[in-house]
Amino acid sequence: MFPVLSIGPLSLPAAPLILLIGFWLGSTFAERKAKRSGKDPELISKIIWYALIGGILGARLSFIARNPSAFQGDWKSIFSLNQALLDPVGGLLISVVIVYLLASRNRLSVLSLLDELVPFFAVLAPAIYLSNFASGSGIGLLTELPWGIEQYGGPRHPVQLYLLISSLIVLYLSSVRQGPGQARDGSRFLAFVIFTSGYLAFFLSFQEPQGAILWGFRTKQIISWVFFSGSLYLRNQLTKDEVQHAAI
Amino acid sequence: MENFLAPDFTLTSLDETVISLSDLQGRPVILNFWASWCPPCRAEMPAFQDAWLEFGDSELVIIGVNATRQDSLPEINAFLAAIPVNFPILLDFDGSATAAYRVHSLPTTYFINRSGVITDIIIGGPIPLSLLRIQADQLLQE
Repeated sequence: MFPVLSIGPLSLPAAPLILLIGFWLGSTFAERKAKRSGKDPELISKIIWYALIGGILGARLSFIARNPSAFQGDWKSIFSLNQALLDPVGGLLISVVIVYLLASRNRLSVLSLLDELVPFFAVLAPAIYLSNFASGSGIGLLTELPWGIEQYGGPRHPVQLYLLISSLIVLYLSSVRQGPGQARDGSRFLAFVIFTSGYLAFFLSFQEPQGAILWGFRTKQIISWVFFSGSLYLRNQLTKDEVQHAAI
Repeated sequence: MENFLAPDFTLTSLDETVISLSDLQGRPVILNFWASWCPPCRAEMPAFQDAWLEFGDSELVIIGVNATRQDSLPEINAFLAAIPVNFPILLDFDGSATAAYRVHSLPTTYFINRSGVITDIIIGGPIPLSLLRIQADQLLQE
């Protein structure tokens, strides 16, 4: 755990810093991919940064909308830099709307845009797990396995590191170049979701439970299974369409 | 440490009252680790005082734990003369509470429910009053 990075007199919170670096690296990778596939890299970069800024503003506005009475007489805290005053779900929804609107405005198919954004997501995922490791959130269950790391009263599964390694493998796989015309729009993104939700569904079973548990599974695991099966079904449909299209 | 039992401690306050966390079982607690030399601690202390004034009649307990091992009594007194607070300020002379809570940076604030479980941790600051209100309401509703 290293929640704060001390560089000389500066003390910087590690988790948001890692996320910001991940965001910047992801954006750079996505721009390169766009350039390779003949898309406008500046547009891809613009969409990513608009989604980030809109997402942060949306997360704060959504938080205020959910807790308006808490801000009475303390309106200046609307501008507080504290990340605890953000609603991640609200932020994510606003980001999705921004991406959709920008894609429509620039006459880009959403599926094609999602394919272009895969390098961004693939770089952001390890950054998220590393930031969780830094802040000590999402710790594992107690274990006697030799690679258990000492956290909160005993050796525990380093779940954040399991997820980090898995995401780096997915990052490698997603960076393998495809030949032209090999896949239909959306198949690259769906493959990324299949791999990501697959390793999440498996490795989250080693995490200390947080929140509700349904039928012995953590809520996050159930959501991962839903995404895994949904993406698998959709990708299968795309492949079928592709085969039929080729036959015609 | 979220969702874990809050480690117990016994510390002496500035007015020499001995307080143990276990004495407060059944009451929600907001525990703020701070030091006089830490600018965000200085910036957020008025919000804790405002929260104490707002929730003073409820069961909520607000405690400031000074990391005294990294501080000094004259500095602490000067700090509290500039920013007076009414809630108890405990002195962690040997750093045992700071170590038990694995405080890596100051300020760090722990939100502890009636069962003695840490429900949230906020590392760094300053924490605004609005956030303390939300956390306090959640702890009191549990």
